[in-house]
Amino acid sequence: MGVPETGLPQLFAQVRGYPAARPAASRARIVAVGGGKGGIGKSLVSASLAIELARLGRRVALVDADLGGANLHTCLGLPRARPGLGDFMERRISRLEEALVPSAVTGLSLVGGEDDPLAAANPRHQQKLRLLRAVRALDQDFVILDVGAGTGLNVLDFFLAADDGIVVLVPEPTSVENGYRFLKAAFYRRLRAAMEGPALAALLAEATRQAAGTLLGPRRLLSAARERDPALAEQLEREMRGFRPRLVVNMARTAGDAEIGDAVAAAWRAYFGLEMDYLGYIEFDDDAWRTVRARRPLLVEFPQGRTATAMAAIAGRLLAIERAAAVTAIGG
Amino acid sequence: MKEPAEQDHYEVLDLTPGCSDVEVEAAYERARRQLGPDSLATYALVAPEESRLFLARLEEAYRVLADPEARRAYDLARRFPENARQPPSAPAALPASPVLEPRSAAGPPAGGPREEPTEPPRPVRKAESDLPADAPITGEVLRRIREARGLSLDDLAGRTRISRRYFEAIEQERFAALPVTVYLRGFLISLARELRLDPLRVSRGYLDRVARGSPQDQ
Ligand SMILES: Nc1ncnc2c1ncn2[C@@H]1O[C@H](COP(=O)(O)OP(=O)(O)OP(=O)(O)O)[C@@H](O)[C@H]1O
Ligand SMILES: [Mg+2]
Repeated sequence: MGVPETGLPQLFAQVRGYPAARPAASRARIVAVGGGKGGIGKSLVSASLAIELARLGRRVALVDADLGGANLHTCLGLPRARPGLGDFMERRISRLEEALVPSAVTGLSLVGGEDDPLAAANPRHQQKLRLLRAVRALDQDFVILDVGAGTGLNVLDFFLAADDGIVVLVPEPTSVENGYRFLKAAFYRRLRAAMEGPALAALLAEATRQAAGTLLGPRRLLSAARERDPALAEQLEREMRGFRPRLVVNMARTAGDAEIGDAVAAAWRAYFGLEMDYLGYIEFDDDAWRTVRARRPLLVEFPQGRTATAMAAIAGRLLAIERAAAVTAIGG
Repeated sequence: MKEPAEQDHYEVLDLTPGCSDVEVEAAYERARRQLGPDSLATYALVAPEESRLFLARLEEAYRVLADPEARRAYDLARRFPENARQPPSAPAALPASPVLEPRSAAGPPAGGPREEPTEPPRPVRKAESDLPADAPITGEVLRRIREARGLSLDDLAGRTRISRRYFEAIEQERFAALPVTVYLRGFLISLARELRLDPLRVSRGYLDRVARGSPQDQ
């Protein structure tokens, strides 16, 4: 499958929010899982979503893009295998397919991460682009990227290059705080990639000055843009519509926790004027850490458990978004 | 997509103009729960001033839409803005560039430095509570109109949920005590609504004055 040479802006621009326009040539749908904070279940959500989609008959590649903390093989109960992602980035293998390892779940394979902390933790720009293009070209229905913790540029770029960027949030202030920081960083990264040139830089500088150094929300940025440059404002509005993350709440313990997902989407919209799709929540599940300790995938050990049920609903919502996108692509 | 201060009451509550009273109540309850200061979902999302401003708009929207009389008047003004005393939603604008504003006949040409009259202009023909078209927007003028409307600073604070000290600083033109432009603008729009003045004119006029830097500040 031929993939045109593209830079980051093109990779980001191919994603058009929701409903996302899907290119005519059928390719893998890329789902990235992030959230800023460490230890909130990004890997568990990545692995569980991959298993669920494979069970539904899709061909799924799970890619460990957590360059500093790869451990998806452990989540799937697989030994660390070479070659992995790092070997591809360092060109020790020429095709990403060579790093695909089948798992115990039919239809699901894994591209293991890099475990040398120095080798691939900070890829050069060209390496990153090459990887993202290879991911796009995989002959799969879904590619799930676990992008790891933090808001580093690599993390953000993997997240932004996906068709669905899932943010995992745990109902506690630290996670909410990091989650918003992650979302804001991703939004502004996307904006800067899409709107190169002095006009946006001047607008951002002016807006930041007006707000005395704090980051201005997109709503205010947009009205500042309307004031000085209608064409810029139009472009900004397009980018705002195109940025549409999905949300998964993990480790919910109370009834109130279950409502936090809707509240986060509402707050994000009310204050920033941006949309977000809430996919659903996963309860705190003692079996989660028990099965990790046994190095067995939770969804394989307890296929009827509550996390499996929750994941089925989450995957269902994601597929509904994909269907809507496909309809839009056909319709126009 | 608009700034909170520019959204109309329906937009703020995420409602459509034809909605029922029950829907207004439900939307308000939900918004308080999801977007209020105690909601985990607003934690570290925006600056406290931004959040205060939004919640003030929320209260204002609810106060109007939950009151059948006020809602009817508001709907009428929305449909026929040219006949209304207060435009339902001001066009988008940040005072980033110099704003144009009706000037008094004695004023120097646009662009040059301008001396604000030290005495607020005395309305000649109109009542004390009206704002002549050429009057500059000063803290003193705003104070007089507020008093003519029989509103105390505490009344304003109670109705808008914006701290009293901001209104006080606006009237006394203690610019250093005021928040940065983006928030001040929202406060001025809320104040103008309470005083039944044109929000855009008040915010532009006052911000213009702040930008010119004629603070009677200590
Ligand atoms: N719903 C849950 N209930 C109980 N434990 C959970 C749940 N989700 C995740 N955990 C546990 O929390 C720990 C962290 O999960 P996980 O490794 O998936 O997080 P992560 O976000 O990928 O972390 P890192 O940032 O280190 O990559 C694991 O022990 C996992 O089993
Ligand atoms: Mg992880």
